Amino acid sequence: MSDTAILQNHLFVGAVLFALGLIGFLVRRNVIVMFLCVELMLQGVALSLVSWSRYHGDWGGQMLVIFIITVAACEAALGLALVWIMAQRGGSLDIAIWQTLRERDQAPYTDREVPEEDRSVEDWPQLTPAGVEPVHPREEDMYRSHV
Amino acid sequence: MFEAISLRTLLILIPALPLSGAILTAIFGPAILRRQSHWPTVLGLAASCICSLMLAVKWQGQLPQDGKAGQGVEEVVTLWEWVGIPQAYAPSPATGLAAIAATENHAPLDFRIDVSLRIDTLTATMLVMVTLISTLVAVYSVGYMHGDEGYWRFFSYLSLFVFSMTMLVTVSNFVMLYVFWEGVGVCSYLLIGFWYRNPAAAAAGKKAFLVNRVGDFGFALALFLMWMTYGSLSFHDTDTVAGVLGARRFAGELSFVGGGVGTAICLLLMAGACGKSAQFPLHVWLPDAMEGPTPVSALIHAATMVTAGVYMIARCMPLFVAAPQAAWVVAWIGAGTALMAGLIALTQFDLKRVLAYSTVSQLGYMFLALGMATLGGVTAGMFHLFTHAFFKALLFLGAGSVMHAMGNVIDMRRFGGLRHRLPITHATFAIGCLALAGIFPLSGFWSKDAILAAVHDQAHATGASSYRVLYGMAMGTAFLTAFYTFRAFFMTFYGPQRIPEEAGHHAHESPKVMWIPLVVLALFAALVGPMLEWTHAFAHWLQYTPSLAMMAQAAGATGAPAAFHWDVAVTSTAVAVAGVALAAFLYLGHRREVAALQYVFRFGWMNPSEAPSDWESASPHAAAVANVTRPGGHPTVTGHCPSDHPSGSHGHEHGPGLLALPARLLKAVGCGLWSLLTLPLWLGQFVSPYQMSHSKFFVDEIYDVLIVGPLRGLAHISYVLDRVLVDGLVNGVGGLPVRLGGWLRKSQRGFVSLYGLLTVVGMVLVVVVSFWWGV
Amino acid sequence: MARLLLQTLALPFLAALLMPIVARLGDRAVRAWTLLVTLVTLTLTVSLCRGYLQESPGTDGFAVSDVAWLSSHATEMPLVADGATGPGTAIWDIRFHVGLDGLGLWLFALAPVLMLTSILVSWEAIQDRPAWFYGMLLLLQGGCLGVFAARDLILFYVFFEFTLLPLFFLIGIWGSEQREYAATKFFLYTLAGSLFTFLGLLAIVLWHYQQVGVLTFSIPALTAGLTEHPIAPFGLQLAIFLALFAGFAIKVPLFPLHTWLPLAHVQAPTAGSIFLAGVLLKIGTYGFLRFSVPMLPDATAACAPALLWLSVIGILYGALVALAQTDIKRLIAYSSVSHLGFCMLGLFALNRIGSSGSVLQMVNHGISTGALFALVGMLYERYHTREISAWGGLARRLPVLSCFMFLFTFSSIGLPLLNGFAGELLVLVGMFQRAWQGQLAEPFTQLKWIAVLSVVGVVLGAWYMLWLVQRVFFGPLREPHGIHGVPVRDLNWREIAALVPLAVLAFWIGIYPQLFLRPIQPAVDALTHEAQGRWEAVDRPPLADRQAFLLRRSR
Repeated sequence: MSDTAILQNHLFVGAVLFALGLIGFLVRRNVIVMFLCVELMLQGVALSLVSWSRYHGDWGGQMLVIFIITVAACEAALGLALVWIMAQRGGSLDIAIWQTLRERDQAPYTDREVPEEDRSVEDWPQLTPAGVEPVHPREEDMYRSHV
Repeated sequence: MFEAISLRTLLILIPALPLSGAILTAIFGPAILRRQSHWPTVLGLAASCICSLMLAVKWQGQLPQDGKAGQGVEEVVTLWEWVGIPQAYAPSPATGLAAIAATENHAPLDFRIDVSLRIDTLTATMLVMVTLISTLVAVYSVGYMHGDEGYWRFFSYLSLFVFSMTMLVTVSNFVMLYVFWEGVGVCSYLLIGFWYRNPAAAAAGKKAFLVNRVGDFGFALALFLMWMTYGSLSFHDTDTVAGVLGARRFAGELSFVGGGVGTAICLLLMAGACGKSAQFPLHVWLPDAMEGPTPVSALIHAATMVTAGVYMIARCMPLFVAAPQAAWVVAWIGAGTALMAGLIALTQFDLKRVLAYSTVSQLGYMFLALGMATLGGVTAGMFHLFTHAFFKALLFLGAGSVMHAMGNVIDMRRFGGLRHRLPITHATFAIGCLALAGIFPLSGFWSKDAILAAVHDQAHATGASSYRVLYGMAMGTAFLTAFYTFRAFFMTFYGPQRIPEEAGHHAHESPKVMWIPLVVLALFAALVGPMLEWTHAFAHWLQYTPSLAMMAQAAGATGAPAAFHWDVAVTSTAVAVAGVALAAFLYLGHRREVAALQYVFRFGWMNPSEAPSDWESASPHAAAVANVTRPGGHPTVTGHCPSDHPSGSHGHEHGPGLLALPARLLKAVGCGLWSLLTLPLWLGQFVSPYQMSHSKFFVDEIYDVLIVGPLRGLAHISYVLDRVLVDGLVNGVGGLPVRLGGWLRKSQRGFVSLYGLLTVVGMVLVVVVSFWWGV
Repeated sequence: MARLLLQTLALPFLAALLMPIVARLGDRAVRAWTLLVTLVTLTLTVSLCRGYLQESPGTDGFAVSDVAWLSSHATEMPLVADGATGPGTAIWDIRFHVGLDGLGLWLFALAPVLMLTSILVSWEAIQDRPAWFYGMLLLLQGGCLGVFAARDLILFYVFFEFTLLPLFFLIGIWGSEQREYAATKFFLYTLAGSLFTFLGLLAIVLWHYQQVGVLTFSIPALTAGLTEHPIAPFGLQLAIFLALFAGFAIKVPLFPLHTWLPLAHVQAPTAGSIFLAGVLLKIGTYGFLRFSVPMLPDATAACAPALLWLSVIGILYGALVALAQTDIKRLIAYSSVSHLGFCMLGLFALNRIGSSGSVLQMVNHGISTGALFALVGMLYERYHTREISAWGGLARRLPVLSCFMFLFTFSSIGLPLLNGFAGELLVLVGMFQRAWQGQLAEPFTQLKWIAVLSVVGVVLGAWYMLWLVQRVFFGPLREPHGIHGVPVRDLNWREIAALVPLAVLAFWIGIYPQLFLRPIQPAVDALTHEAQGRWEAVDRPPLADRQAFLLRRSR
């Protein structure tokens, strides 16, 4: 097989991966599935980058893919953490229950029934307050286990 | 000493002295001089007057002594370059105007305006007249304005005015003429509004300024057209360019522009002159200007400033000769104004307003003379300007003297029989009246006669009927002049003595400082005319003015102005005497004005209470009038002459000297006058001629309705449009981003999949578009 | 002299920077400091003007200094696709290039004079955060000086936009009731226009680069280059002209784009009004004369009749609307619209007389309207109202103020021997020459109508100003209620000192305008020469093209 044919095949697979990911991202409502679809799109792009890189004999594309994988890993960690919290808060993984960022006078988007948001848990995660560090009791500092 | 002062120094000193007087008065007047604030002004004006006389004498010495006319002499002193823009105007050869000098290698013309002073006989004449009268008026004002809180202000303005006026007649280009034209306008504005706390005075000042601005609009347009046509705005030739009225133009190198452009220039100049000299469409400001102090009325609004228009047209006479249609219009405007103002003056009760309308009328006379566009006409017009300045200033100052004694009351119905109380005023006023009426041998007779002769000559020379009509109008005006002048004189000084309560117990003759100028002016008013006219000295002297000299040469005249016509002189004297006699008949002895005039003008059916006045009701004839004026209650307009009526013949018994008059002449004149006055009545039957005259032919009201009102309305409409439409559009455009944002806001649904979809759509669009354009 | 100019430019900015330190010494120190700095600036400016008049450098710049500012000698900018005409690379070279010429000289000099008036007028009126106020005023002055001295396009634009900021704060913080609205409107309106201007200016630079091969922002170089290589398709030139027009015409303001002006004037503090009317408006006309006319001569010649119409409509409309005002400040603001119409009229008459007169008229308007706003400010300080109907007969109560009011009213209505007349006369003569040249005997063309109507504006101008004077200063004394407790004083020495320089200038220009015209005339002539030639070309093939183009567009 010629280089061109190999490139074409690789690009085709990359495009199929990207398209599948795209369609999946648009049509699914489960947050985790959507997240996976995004990863799929990334991999499609990465594949085409690698194939171009091989075709041109240039390492730049492959280097970029390494970056993408790294970033995707970080992103996956962060993203899944957020998803977990959201799932904990809302009691559901349906993306449709998180429409609170819409403009005030807009009705929420519903194609079918939106599950009721679970408002039983009210302890929102909180960031450490900024500012001067609070004063700790001396004994506690002295006997902290991890020091 | 006399020889040591050069012409140049004199020319500069004449305006500079009043200017320094004005500045000194303004600086030291309020705090230091106070009651002595008149000194800088009086001294400055007197010195300026002496300089003018010296200048005139010196200039006389410089004139060619052979006495041959047609030789102009001028001298120009250039002080500094006011504006100079080199090579500003390249006249297109396509216009084919012979008015612009073909400069060397067709270089464009410079737009250059110098502050330059000129001396020629016309200027010298005006300078002498202006400074002499202003000095006398300033002296008079020392008494008249005594005790006024704006004492220093008055003298400062007065000096400033004299500075502007002397500059006006001295400068040697049209722009500077315009400059000082407006300059005297401002001084007039300030002096009319001198008693600014009186709203009428403030309004009159504004009106004067604005009406003059309308005239100046024409003057400015004329100036611009002249620049385009002649490529210069100087009177005199300069090294590079031929002036508009310069010698090169007369030498035959270049011509004056006639035709449409020439006529337009002249008519626009005339518009300017009409504004300043209060001629027909723009005469409305002058009577209102009487709100100013009386010396101001005498100096500015009778003798000097209002004659600036006449001076300007006389100066530009060659242009008018080249555009005869324009000259014809000048003549008609002049004659029409003279007649109209005379008619209005017949019924005014305000002494100063009678004189104001008389000024308008006399200025119309001068315009008529200038409109002949002949040498005789111009010299006659200027001569009348010269003599009129003296006797009208005298009359105004006399009126001021009366006002002074009457506690500022000026309504003639409220005083009378003052001849014993004010003997000097009475005597000088009489001389002024006789001069104004044109009675032999006082000044007015000679100058008025010169004008009539000029019109008469022109009528004969052209054979055009329009000049005959003009002649008739001039004669009619002469009659009216004599009548209203003596009506005022008799009402003021004769009859039973009546003094208004405002005068208190001190109704006495004015102080010396006031009556001495009166006497001096009376001497001038009596003597200037015969002395100058007997030998035609004035006309000869004036012919050394370059433009007039060239005119004379072009006309092939022998240098003699309009000859003295015995028939004209006799007719005009007869008419004037008739006018005086009619006035005497109506106002001397028993006052029959109400009876006769109401019959003549009101036709009885008008409501006699429409012009209520205590004087009328006090008349012994009031009851009789009521009977006469209500013949049937049905409005009828009949063609009877007043003298046919029993009431008129009733007057014969008391009228002194009436029988001595040729009754037929009186009757003819009366009939003519009467039918003219009734003309509007025939047309409309809605207002009586008396009312027409008394309310000044409603010109002010017409202007209010036709011009002022609509413009004010337009102003308010514009403002509303500005807020609603123009600003509305701006705010609308400014609101667009807000509205667009409001619309786009709807896409913010907070639903992640939707955002994803939009992203994809955008991406697809980018791809499609980039493929489309092949990027 | 170059150093003198740099000092003059730097002084206000440095003084403003030092203001926080001076502010610690108290309000009196702030005022004294600003006054001192302004007096020094004024002295420097006067010596610059004297130097200019002595050297009379013609059309070249005077006191030019030129240093690299934002330059990069290393960056290559492959801007030209086909290297046929240009070398294909450029050096990005924005320079701090300043100097004076006849066009900018008097406008430059006007800023410190009006600054002096502004300070003295605000002396007691501004009690709220004076340090900030005078700091802003100094910055504004610096910006105005910079605009008229800049000889680099980007530098010009920087100063051009910079002037908005201090005035925005001056109006927004120290203004009257509607100050926020006025400040926002003023800022957004002018900014919206000037962004288009920026695009147009950049297009000019790029065109020059494409044709000549040198990427320069130097205004003289651009002018010279574009004279040799005029922007070629007329449509492009027209588009650039309109882009420049957007900014400059709003700044002037030309007739339909004027509505920000009365609002801004009425709401601004007195000093802001003085500066706005006196200097900032002139930037618009200055911009036209500096950029549009010399660099885009074809489009200028084609658009001139339309602009003349807008000017004359502005003259009449401004005068009429002024006649309908009840607010004294708004009346004067609308009179500004009318007067700036005269400036534009003379400018686009595009001949020596008209354009020179226009520049003179810009200076005149700065003097007379600046002084009128100062006087209105003094009235406001005394009576706390701007309603014309609230006053009457003030000539008795305030004789000195009335004297000045008369003087500047007369100057504003173009009375001879005062400054307004000389400019107005030249503008009108120029316009007449434009209208009548070569068609003396022909029937009325549109240009002739414009010329005649503009003279009507002079009559209307006298009407509204004299009406104002009559209502406020003549008649029986009438004063607003509620001030009877404190007797109203006439002008004190400080206020007289604020007005006297302007009065002296008014007389000086009126009596000897040639002194002021002498530098203006050659500079303006050089700038308008090209466009004038285009307009007057006897056989006009380009005109036919232009008309064809416009017709095509209109379809």
